[in-house]
Amino acid sequence: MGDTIEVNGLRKSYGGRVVNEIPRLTLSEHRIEGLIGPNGAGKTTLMSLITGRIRPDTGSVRLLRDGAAIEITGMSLNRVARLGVVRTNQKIQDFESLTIEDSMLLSLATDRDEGPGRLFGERDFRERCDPIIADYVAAMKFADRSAHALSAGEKKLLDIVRCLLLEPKILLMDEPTVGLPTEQTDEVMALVSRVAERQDMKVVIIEHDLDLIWKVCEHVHFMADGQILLHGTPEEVRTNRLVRDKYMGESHA
Amino acid sequence: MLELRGIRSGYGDVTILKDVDLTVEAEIFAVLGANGAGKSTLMRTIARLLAVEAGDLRFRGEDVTAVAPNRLAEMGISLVPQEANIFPNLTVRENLSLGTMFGTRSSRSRIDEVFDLFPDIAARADQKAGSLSGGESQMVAFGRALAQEPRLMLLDEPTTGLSPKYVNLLLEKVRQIHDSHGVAILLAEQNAVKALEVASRVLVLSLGKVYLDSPVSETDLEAIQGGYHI
Repeated sequence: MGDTIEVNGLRKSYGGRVVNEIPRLTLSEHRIEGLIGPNGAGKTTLMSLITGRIRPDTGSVRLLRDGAAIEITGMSLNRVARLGVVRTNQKIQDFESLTIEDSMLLSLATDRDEGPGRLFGERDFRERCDPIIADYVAAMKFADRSAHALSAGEKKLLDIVRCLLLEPKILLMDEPTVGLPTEQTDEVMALVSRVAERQDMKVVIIEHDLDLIWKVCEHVHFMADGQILLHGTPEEVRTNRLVRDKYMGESHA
Repeated sequence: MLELRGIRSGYGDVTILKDVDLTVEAEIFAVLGANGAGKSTLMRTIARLLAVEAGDLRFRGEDVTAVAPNRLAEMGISLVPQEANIFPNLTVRENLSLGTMFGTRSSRSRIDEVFDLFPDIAARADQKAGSLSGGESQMVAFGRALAQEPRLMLLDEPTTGLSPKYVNLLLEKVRQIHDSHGVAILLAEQNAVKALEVASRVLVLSLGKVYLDSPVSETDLEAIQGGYHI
């Protein structure tokens, strides 16, 4: 069945505004799930609470693995990532001084490879990583791996690749299509689906591109005003009146 | 209204735009192209956030190749950038009021107009903008540019992070301000179909050069897609 995330009694507020109020939620029971909702619904905040970027006011987040429950509430971002829960970013995060290749190497480095003078100096480390990097450079169509990612789209792709290279068990993707043309979005999601299948990885996608959500997700959660209001198959969520009224507007109805 | 002749610009040693010629009248001009084609660089160059390496930039007949960005804003050019687009430590209202430094109508009426368009941020008028979600931040950035009473709006993927309902609202507003006030719009978008629904002219950039510059009515999607596959 693989890993799942269980949220209980989670609450987070900023200056009197409650942005997350979730009594109970299980995420990643399915291979690829969607999390949708209007702007300001609290979707990104929920991801930040799960991955340890911010701490909840109350409540808990647990990672369920092999019949055991690992408490990850308030755990630091890097410890949560080491447990296999990794998140791609809504806003572009990039090591601007690193080339595309070096940025990928950073994700591939293990504890053994790290340390002053070792990371980028070791020929065998580069050689070992070369075929893996070559695969991703080809899949994402980077023109030159020794160059820097300049456009917003390239930076976005690099962010996604860096996360995949960590071989996560659960990948949380916060608006992965932003800055990418439709055709490239399809390629990225095809790649993510292949990796999910190959590495037994679960994926949760936050997205406003509903065509993508309906196409790739097996299960969808709908969130508004800080609360999870509905779960179901893409078809159940797509045809729900509440979702149409609160979120989709006329063009998708 | 806006003329670019032989424009070259980029970042440090890397030249992105190569000899770009472009004339923008009071129209909605969709700017399309693959990743790295130079769409954002074009916007930032026109707004003078990037230095022009070669070529001339003219706005309403005046040479603005070396004019400071704040002077351009005063002349009526407003930019909605792709990222880092609001002041997180100012409230939503304060962010919007920065857009009313220039222009003629009262600051209040212009801010109220933005709130009418985006009720979600009206409810958060006195909150720090840094506490907003990504989509709400985008509404503030667009609202601030709108409040400037611009003659030319540079919109760099303005629908980024917006829910489907607001994508349609925003694009409808773009059409309205063009129709009612004759505002020229340069609209860079990844969603070509949405952009072409409101645009009358389309520019396709490819590897920093103009691949296609044509009225939308005379252009089919296949011709546009050619610029993505070079």
